[in-house]
Amino acid sequence: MKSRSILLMATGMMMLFFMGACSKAEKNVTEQPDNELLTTVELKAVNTTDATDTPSAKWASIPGGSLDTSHAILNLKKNASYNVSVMFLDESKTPASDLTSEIRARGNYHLVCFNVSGGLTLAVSPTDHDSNSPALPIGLSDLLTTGAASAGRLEVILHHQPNVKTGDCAPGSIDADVNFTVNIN
Amino acid sequence: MKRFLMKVAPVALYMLLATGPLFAQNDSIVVRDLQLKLKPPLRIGLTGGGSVPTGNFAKTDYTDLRSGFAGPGFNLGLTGTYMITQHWGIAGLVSYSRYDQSGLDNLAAGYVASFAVSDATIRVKDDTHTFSYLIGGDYSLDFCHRIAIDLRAMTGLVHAQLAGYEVQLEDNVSSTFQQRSARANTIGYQIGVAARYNFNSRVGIALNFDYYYSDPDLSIENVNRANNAGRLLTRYNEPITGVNTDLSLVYTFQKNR
Repeated sequence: MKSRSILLMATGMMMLFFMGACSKAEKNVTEQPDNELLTTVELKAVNTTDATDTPSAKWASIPGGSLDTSHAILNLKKNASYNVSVMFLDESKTPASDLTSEIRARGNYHLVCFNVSGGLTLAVSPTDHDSNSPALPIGLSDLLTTGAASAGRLEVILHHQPNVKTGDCAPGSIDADVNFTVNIN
Repeated sequence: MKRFLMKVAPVALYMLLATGPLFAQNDSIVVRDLQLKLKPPLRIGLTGGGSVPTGNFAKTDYTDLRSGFAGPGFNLGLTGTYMITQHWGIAGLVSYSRYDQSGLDNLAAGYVASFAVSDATIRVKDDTHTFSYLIGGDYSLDFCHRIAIDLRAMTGLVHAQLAGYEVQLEDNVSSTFQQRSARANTIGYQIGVAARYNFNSRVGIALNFDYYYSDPDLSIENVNRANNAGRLLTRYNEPITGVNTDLSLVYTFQKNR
């Protein structure tokens, strides 16, 4: 009788253990606690043939403040080439935080795209590349090539493309989308 | 001659009668030993219990590619022990061990950080398990008729499978990628001790503690890894180690004496 009880108890314990081991969850979701704010986009250009020609432009929208586009104007010379750095900042805190290096470090799934409109004679080609295989453009460093005198808009869009970056602008989500006025004289 | 026989016969008869039981006893012992050698006990055990992985196999560090993310699981096995002598025997084991996936939070959080996304969903595909086919030696010591201690060391083939998983970044289905489950065969070993209680000459129960080791070389296929970012495992060559704590129901086949 005692032997049977022990046997039954042992069998029961083993069954309970197996049942417990089989019923584990296979799904898990985790959320990121905080994102840094991206308040400011700057363009800093250097003429490839004239180092003293360094036009720049700044677009800023600080939370709690007003949208400041008074400095979002880029003046370029006609028929020239410029090396341009695109910078992303968080100016909601003091001192401001430069997020550009972080975006560059995560360049394998970030892409800066440009749209030219309004009859602007401007070509943009990225000069920096990520470490994907094959390497894809990031767009934080670019070559701007101007044509005849004109004016228009240059839209700068930072795409976030986690595991969907192919070099095209379409996939992923948009982290920043700002417009600059460009004058070519 | 007749006088000689008359004198010797009583002496011979006496010697024969006096030593007869002795001869009979010796014959009996020889026969019994022979029977033991011809029909030694065979024990069969149905074993089950917990498997607790150890070492890198059990690590859940996202940044450490040696992490196996294996959590405690269970094992089920069939053991057979053929006693060659009173203490020494040959043991065989066929067992299945299945492990839970642990550290999924770490894994998901790692991909969240690696791809700078707001959330990541991990879905485990298949499972982590091993099939073991081992053979080795058993040393058995009996105490007080009912209690025995068994020491075992076995080696043999281990078939291992490492679970795969699917990662979905945010709600973008096209970003979903997979680390496929991987399989490999290798040589492993297991050593352990068991305390056995025999309810009678045939049925008993045993509590086993076993340490196991195998080192499979697993090649891992990854699907839809569009970008070079995040934890990417193409090979896993870390030892699968751990401890089994089992209960065994033991049945002994032996000749009635």
